[in-house]
Amino acid sequence: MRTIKIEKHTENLFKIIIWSLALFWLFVTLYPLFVMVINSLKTRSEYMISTMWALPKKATLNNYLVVLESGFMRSYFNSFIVTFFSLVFMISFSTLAAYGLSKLKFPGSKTVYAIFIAGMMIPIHITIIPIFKLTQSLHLYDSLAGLVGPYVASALPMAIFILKGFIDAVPGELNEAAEIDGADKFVTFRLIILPVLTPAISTVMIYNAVYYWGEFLYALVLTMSKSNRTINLGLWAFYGERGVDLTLIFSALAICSIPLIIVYAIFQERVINGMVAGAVKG
Amino acid sequence: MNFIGLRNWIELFGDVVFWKSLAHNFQLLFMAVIVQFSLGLFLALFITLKKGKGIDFLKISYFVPFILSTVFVGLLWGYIFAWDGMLNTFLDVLHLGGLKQDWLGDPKISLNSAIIATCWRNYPFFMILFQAAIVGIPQSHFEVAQIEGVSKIQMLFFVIIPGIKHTFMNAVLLIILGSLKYFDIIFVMTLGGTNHSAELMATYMYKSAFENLRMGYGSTIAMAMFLLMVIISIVFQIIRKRRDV
Repeated sequence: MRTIKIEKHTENLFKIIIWSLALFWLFVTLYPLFVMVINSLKTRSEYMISTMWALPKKATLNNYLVVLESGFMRSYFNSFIVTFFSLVFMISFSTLAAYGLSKLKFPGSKTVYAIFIAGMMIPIHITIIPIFKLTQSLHLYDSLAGLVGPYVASALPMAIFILKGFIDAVPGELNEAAEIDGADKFVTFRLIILPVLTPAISTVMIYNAVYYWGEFLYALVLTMSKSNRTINLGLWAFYGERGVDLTLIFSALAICSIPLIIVYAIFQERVINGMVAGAVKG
Repeated sequence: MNFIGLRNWIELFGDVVFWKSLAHNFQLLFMAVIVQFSLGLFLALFITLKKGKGIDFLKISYFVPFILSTVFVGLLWGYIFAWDGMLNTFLDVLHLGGLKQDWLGDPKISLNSAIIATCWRNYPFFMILFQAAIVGIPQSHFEVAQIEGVSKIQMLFFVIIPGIKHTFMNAVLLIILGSLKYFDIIFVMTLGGTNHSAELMATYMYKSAFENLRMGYGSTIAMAMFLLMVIISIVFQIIRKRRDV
């Protein structure tokens, strides 16, 4: 009896320790975001005298208005444009390429595929100098269009790898049957391959949407002027200009993160699975 | 463009800053493995072995940092580590004022501070990776262990850890390669530090090429990084094949 009691006791202690660690880490994860939001709602003078965890006495959206008027939203919009076009091009190229490499055997198709796969090994950091040179000589330096090319190219190997895996699983007979019925290659692609690919496409899209939205190094190197900043550069520059006024910085940080967190809260598991699957294979 | 043979490479091998950066990359790797793997594994176990609605909420919350952009995380943690920022305020409240540090200003600790922020953002990835692996362990392994009457700790060491061995080794490779090329948060938070105290290979490459405008030397650093990554991957795969993990 006694030993059972002791065992029960240690078991409970064990449980308490584990739960408190887990909840402590929840606090470490979410509390900085909470502090960011409540302080973004304070006036500068209130921020100076209040402690950081005190709720604002009179919440004001004034800081947000200042951020919105500072031209910061331009970079937000730029990121939308770049992310959108990069995704459109990346998905169209990679689905078609994966289809071609999987179902339309042509001389050298294995080599082409091998080159794409080799591309997965190459980190973007070592391509940055050649791409900078290339962008300059194409007169795309400091333009949003100049970002789309590298973004699409850096995502293609992983996308093709994942998508080709899915297309390989479609039995060849389906293809042939469609062709006997008189469907041309593109119709086969649209009616037979695309429906199978939907889950894979959503994985690739989620992973790369988050990557494009958060991308920093290419944007830092390939753009310069204020009107071409993406959101991360805009945020960074805003910090450089207005860093002394922390309430403004908190507002800018909130503007950057809250919409993202809301979108994430809607899709939850799909975002998690997409990001991990993408990164493991990439 | 002039070809100058191996002159950049010779310079690289004698460049103290490069070796210092490389050492910092390994410091990042070392801390990232310890912090991210222990946190990732602990939380993965927690969210898989407990069930319920609340756990889903926890899992989704733990993952939040990973969707935030690196610049965002760098600036947010810049505030946490500021002299009158969150961490020092907490230390004051807990009457631990003696532990207060200028977390980012002091060149001795600024790299470690920035590494902590990096870990805060990246551990959710390993959490989900380990979680998927734990879910993938065949139920029969747990049942056999239960019949044998093993304790929870034994379950961890004799069923779960061997069961996720393969994923674990993949994660090791990913974190090695990721740490060798890391750039974002360290650069945002420290800019390489005073007198290169927080320089990484990638930040040094960026500075050489785009601040000192030595594209050639920058490319040499980039190539050195790449070669190092290739060599490490190959050696790692050979060891894995031999040991069969």
